[in-house]
Amino acid sequence: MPLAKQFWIEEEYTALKVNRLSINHQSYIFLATDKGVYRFNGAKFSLVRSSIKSPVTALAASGDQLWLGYKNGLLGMLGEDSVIPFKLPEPYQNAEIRCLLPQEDGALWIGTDNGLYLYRDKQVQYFSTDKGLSDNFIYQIIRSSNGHIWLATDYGVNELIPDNKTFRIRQYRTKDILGDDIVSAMAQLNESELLLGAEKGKLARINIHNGQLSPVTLPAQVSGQILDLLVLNNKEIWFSTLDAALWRLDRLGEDSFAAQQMTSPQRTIYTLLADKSGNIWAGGQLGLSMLSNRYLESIPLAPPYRLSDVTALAIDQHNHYWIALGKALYCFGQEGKVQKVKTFPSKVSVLHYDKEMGLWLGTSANGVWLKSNESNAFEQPAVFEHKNDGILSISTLPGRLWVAGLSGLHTYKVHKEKITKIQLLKDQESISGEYIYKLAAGKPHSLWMATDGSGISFFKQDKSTNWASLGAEQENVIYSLAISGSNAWAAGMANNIYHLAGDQWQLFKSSEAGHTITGLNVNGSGQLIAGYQNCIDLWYPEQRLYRHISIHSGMNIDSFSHILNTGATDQEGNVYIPYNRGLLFFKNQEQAFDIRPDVVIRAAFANSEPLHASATSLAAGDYLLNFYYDGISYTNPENLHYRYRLEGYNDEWIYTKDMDAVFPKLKWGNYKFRVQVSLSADFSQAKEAVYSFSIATPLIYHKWFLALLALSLIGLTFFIVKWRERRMKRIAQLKEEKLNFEFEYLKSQVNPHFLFNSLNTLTGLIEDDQKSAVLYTERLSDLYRHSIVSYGKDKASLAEEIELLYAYIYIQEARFGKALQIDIEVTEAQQDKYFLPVMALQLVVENAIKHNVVSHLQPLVVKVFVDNEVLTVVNKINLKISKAAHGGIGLENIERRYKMLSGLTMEYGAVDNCWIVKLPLLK
Amino acid sequence: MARILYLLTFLLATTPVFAQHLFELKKGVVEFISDAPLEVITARSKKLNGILDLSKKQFAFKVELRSFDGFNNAMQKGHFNENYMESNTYPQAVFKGKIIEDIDPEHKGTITVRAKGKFIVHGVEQERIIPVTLKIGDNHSISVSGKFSVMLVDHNIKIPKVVIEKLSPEIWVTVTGVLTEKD
Repeated sequence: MPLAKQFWIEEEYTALKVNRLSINHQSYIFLATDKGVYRFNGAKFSLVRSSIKSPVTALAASGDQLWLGYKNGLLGMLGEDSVIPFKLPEPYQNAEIRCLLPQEDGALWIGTDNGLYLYRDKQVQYFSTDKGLSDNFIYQIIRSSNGHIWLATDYGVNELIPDNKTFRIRQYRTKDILGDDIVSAMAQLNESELLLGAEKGKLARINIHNGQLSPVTLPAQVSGQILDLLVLNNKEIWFSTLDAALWRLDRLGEDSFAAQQMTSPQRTIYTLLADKSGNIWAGGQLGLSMLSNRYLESIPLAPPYRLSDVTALAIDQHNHYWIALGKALYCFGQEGKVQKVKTFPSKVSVLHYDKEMGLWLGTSANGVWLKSNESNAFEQPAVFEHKNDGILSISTLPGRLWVAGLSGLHTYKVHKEKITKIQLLKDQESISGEYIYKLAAGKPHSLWMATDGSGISFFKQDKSTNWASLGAEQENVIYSLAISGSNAWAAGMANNIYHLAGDQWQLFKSSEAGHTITGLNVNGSGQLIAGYQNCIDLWYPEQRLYRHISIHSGMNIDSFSHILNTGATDQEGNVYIPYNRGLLFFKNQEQAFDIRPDVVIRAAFANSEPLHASATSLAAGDYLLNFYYDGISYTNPENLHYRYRLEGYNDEWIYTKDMDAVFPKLKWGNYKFRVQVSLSADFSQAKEAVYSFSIATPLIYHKWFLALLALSLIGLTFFIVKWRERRMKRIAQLKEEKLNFEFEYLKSQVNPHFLFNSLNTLTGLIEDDQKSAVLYTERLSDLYRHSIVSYGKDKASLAEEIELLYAYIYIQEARFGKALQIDIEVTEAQQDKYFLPVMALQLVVENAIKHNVVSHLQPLVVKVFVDNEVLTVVNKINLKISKAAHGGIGLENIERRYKMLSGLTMEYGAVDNCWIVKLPLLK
Repeated sequence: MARILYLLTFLLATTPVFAQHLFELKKGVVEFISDAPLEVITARSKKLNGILDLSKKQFAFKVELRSFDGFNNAMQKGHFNENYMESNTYPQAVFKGKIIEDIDPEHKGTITVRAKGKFIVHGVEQERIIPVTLKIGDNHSISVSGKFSVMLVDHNIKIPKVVIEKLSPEIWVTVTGVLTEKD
């Protein structure tokens, strides 16, 4: 009997009909129901948003796409979070979609209740009875290994053979072999055969190369339309019928199968699916149920079986179950036959079946008994000395018997009916002192012992090894051992499980609170079954993962035995563990199941904006990243461990049980978010999901930008420095000129010639005209005062210059009288407005006096006037013959000063026998 | 030309009488029973009518839901029409489709055939295959009888939790009638 767990898709105990099941590349199970398509991760059902409101009747996964077919004929594709309607062009007409077959080249076959459509290269081809199909009602489409398309219809099987752009159709009637032409189910059986199921409840096989049909014999009880076929492998086939039955077929030969009816919590099962972790899923009228049949079954036992009474268990070679309930021994056969065999004087503590000799039985106060294969009676062989011994464990190998009791360990040689006691080892006595909880024999002639206080001892041929204490906790009380080939496991009082690696016992699983070990068993395919008082862990040692089976597994398991080592194996290595309803049958698994969970990153948000697809590039800025991921496990979905890290930010793993990760502030860079999922804290084999993205560097951090900036800064500095340098030079030059001029002017003012002349004039005046002399002296002092005042200034106002000129003119006129005539035509307004280089005007006039004849016969006339913002000084040229000392400052000096003060140029030169000096007015 | 015409006439003359093979049902009986732990409800309608095309092997049957009578009390009939079947919106139950097996009207006797088609009730259509017994008798009459179950949940007929013990989720329906040939 399979153990089944019922899942309620929406509310508890509310039925929702599942029409089809499919599993996609991410390992999600999708359910096509009357209310839409649901996504299942093992723990939660999520309804996928869809704008199509119609029951989903077909599902097909191909590559990374999932196609959905609806009852109203519409077609959809699964997008990121919703169903995307897929519109098909003419001649597609909406009819209930019964089946879909996507091809790798992107084409899609759609089977409806009104014909067959092929969507390829954006075009639709229609096949119906008019085009050669035997019927328009298509149940199933399968592509066989030779590339042909097979249809199961209401009127036989059709084969579509590719022929250029279209197909040749071959029809096969099935009525003769299958009993019916309504082929309601079809599945691929092997490379060359398809399995067909009929409405009348029969099965047949068809060969794809020659179209030949062969029947499949089924028991008469099978009735009702075959709804779905699940071919697990060539040896095991499941199918469901409309009569609310679920069957399992086990192949016996080429044509023959043994059929067994499975009970299922659901009435009618419409769809079957097998996942890679070994579960079988059935979708039906109530919803979804999970069957554990491929790894675990239940063998229900009727009363007087009662879990709390079970003290020992053994399975014989006919697969009869020998169960000791206290002092009484029962035999539970197949078909529920129960037989009370014998009541013993004390509690039966050990049962061990040995193919050669029979059933060995140990009691708690009455020694060892044997029921040989030939007889039905139990005897106490004479060779056993301690007739009232309490027996703890019995183990056998061909020719050998070991008995561990309260009196110690006894070894016997067994040959046919003769049992002789032998010595195990010379120093056997030393270890016999401790009680032995469990004996396990391994080939050839080796014996393992789990002892109370001395750890584990191992005997092989003549050598003995002892591990007095195991692990960090120095455990020396070992309750149970399980040996399989080269693997050995042990568990003791501290509830840790150890594994023998080489010659050391290593910790395999550390204890968990509340889990008290009761026994270890290994089955024939290498799975370790660790039994506890309130649960059982089914280990897949290579994956270091286990299936957790407890009262919370939802499979009507309520309790387990608290007695040590009640588990037993049959001749093939299948393990049996007693539980409240009977025996849990942990069978040898037909293939290696991968129970590792998967993880999928469902959504990523950057600053609350959703990100699409992998490897996005974000613009520069500050970001808060949110990741939401989903773990998929059909084994222990409530116990998923996650760990994640954001590479590029921090390489440390963060361990969590939550399904989201937040990174509050991320700078620029390349990042990879990696999340892994596991059923335990061991992530060495974990599957992972990755999301890559990058945040652009802001402009200022780009290397080239920085370099450019630096370069330009340097350039700027250089430029500034140079400019300042130039300015400084100009200022220095100006200063120098000024100094120079001042020096020269001063020199000229202290010119003895000028002073001589001036004083001469003064003398004459003192005698003639006192008043004029005073005025003359005042004017002279004005001149000198002016030069003192002007010392240090660069320019003077036109008013000041003219004032100075007047002072100078007075002095000169006092000397020359009417021989000098200077006309100044400058308005007051002009005087206030303009400026000139200091003493420039006086110099020019002085120059004129110096170079020209000034006499009563040839008077010098100088005109000074403003013309277009230029002060013009004009005089007739009448050069003195003798060139006076040229120790003057000269016009060149004024010219230079103009250059330094402004951009204006002074002009001077002879024009029509007149000397013109043009002084541009400064502002 | 003349020869073909002659041949045609000859063929027509020898065509069997049942040229059309149309059979009609006017007063068929539909009876249903809900067997629940606390209550058993039965009702019957005598107004099932339909048509059967023997040559094309197609059929169509319908019955007015308001024509059902025989409930345990009048209120029950009211509930049946207003709350469960919503007869205002979906007044009829229809079954139409094809017959799988061949039927030879000349061959008198009882045969079991499968009627496969769409069964529509309460606006929800389900593909059903219903085995039906046909008894071909004299006078070109075919008596038909069939029995099938209808799961209320299949047709979106909701049972409130308060009456779960009084209404069975599976209703058994029996159909009987006599089809006569339509001329």
